[in-house]
Amino acid sequence: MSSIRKDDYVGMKKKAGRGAVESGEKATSLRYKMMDLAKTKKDVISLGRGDPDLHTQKEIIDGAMKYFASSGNFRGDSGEPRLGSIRGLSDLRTKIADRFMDEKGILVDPEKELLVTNGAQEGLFLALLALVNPGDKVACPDPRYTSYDQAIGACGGTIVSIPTQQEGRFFELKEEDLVKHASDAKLLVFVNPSNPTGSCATTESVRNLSKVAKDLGMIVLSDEIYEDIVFQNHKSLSFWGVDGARDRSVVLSGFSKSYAMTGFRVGFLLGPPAFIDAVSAIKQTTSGPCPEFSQYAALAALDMEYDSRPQFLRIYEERRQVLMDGLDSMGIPYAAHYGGLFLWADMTRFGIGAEEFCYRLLRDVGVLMFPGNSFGESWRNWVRISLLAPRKNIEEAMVRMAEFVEGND
Amino acid sequence: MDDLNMVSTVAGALSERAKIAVASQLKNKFVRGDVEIPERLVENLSYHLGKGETHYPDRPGMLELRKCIGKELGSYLDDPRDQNEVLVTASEGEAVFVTMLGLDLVPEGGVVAQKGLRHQALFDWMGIRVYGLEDTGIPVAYWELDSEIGEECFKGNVGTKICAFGNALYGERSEILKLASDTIMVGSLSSLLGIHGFDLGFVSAEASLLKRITSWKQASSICAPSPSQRVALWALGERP
Repeated sequence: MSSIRKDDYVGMKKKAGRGAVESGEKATSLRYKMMDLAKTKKDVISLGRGDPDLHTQKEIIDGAMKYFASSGNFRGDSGEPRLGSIRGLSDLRTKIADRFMDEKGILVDPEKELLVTNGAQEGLFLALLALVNPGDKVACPDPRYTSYDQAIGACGGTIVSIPTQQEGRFFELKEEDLVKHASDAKLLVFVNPSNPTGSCATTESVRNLSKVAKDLGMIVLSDEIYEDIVFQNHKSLSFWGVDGARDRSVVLSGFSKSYAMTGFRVGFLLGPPAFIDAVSAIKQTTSGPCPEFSQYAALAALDMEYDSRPQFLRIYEERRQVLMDGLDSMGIPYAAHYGGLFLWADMTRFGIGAEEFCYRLLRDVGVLMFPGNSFGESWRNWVRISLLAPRKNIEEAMVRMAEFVEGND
Repeated sequence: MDDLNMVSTVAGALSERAKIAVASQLKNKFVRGDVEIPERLVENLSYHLGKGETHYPDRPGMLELRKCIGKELGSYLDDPRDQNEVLVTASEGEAVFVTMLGLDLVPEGGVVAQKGLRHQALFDWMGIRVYGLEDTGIPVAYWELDSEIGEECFKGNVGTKICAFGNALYGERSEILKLASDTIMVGSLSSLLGIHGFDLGFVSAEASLLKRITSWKQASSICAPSPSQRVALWALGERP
């Protein structure tokens, strides 16, 4: 350990990472500023955060409570205290692997290719720590979920933004843009479906990206946290479903969004064995194992006789329609939406910028949305609108927004 | 482009710090406890989960829990710490990790501390140099509450002081040492909870510094699990 070089330092002082850290902090603080402001007002309808409002299924709570029945097993056969596994409960890892085989036809070795994390966010941070050296370039879609920024900065990496806005209302990460803007990046962060734009790559597009990344010698971190929230029968493909991609990619996902159980903090990483060894070793020292109680909840989610995901999707689909109808009636354009929990809308016509638009919308009619520049500096006229409020609240938000628009056009 | 030698694999792309983590075989032990689970705890937790505590809590931690921790920390200070000066983490290890990120240390700056730290592996892996007590001019002092040293052992101009409580906050303690009012405190709540499945930790610092530390906690794992925090509150006698 004495041979550690200064360049290996994990922290913000790395000159190369400073920009990413600052952009991440700024973007995050902008969202929190809006949320803090919302707390000071009464009767606010929040279409800001990404925390599913739907009730966690009772079966998941009951499953978590089974943890207590297992507490008699706190000591192993030898009578010695049992050690918690940093990789996660074996049963949970096996079930996740089974799910990948059953639903995607993807073979995952639960012992060697899977790590359970404290939510997908920790998986993201660990993956970047394991893959990014100081000075490395990381290609990210623009706009992007800016929580990536701080983690990239902590590693001393720099962000290379890949424009994703195509003609009209379409957003897509295209392979030619990857070549044009980031051919020297070490890592591509690919978020599918996208936060914040709601775009969803087609199977063909995922395959093409995989090929180009391979040609460029680029590793892919595929964030698939919204994999279960896809609309209009849109079909996509996990990065690990592309032939030959698994040695060159890692997959990040979790239970929070699909099962509305954000508070349990359970996510997971899939990757080649050497990668899982590395992220496990880092997790061992930076946080410790994911709480077993939470892992029991995740296990219960996978064991549910009645799969709640299609029901959740139907609810989100209705809300999405209410939002799209509302925006259409106000003549506000938005990105073509195929998946995830957010709509990405263009407020250019109001001429006041997204930050001011969101501030006034909150102040005047009590509707919270997040300004686009908290998802990338250049999105100063766009806003992110969440589907995570009951339908009647979204309907009311659209009524209030229409009043606001009328007075500000 | 067709040269296969150009094609990177994840295994070949691991960062230097990943290789160090694997090579050093970082081995913190996470031992499960052996305690009776009170039936009332099960009822209380089940009730709160049913009421919606399956979702994100306040990002810095549940307000009541932060208040309790802040109040308890007050026994080491002249005044209790405010709830805005307490952050709930996944473990003491994570508390140290995000604190070091929040402090924005320069690599060559390091900390001055005793030998054989509980989190030595974390410091080593982060590339934070640990200087001996005899070294002067190091701006950050770090010590463990259950060791034989205290802040009086540090020489020179120490600007930042970090005291790691381990399990001491709610564990057995023979005497309560008074700490300087600006001391950053990190620790574990595991002795309070008694069972491994609900590990938690904490950081307490002056509010503006804690805000920076919290931003790193959010970047690293957003927040500590709601059920774990509810169990901690139950153990502290907060049982609505």
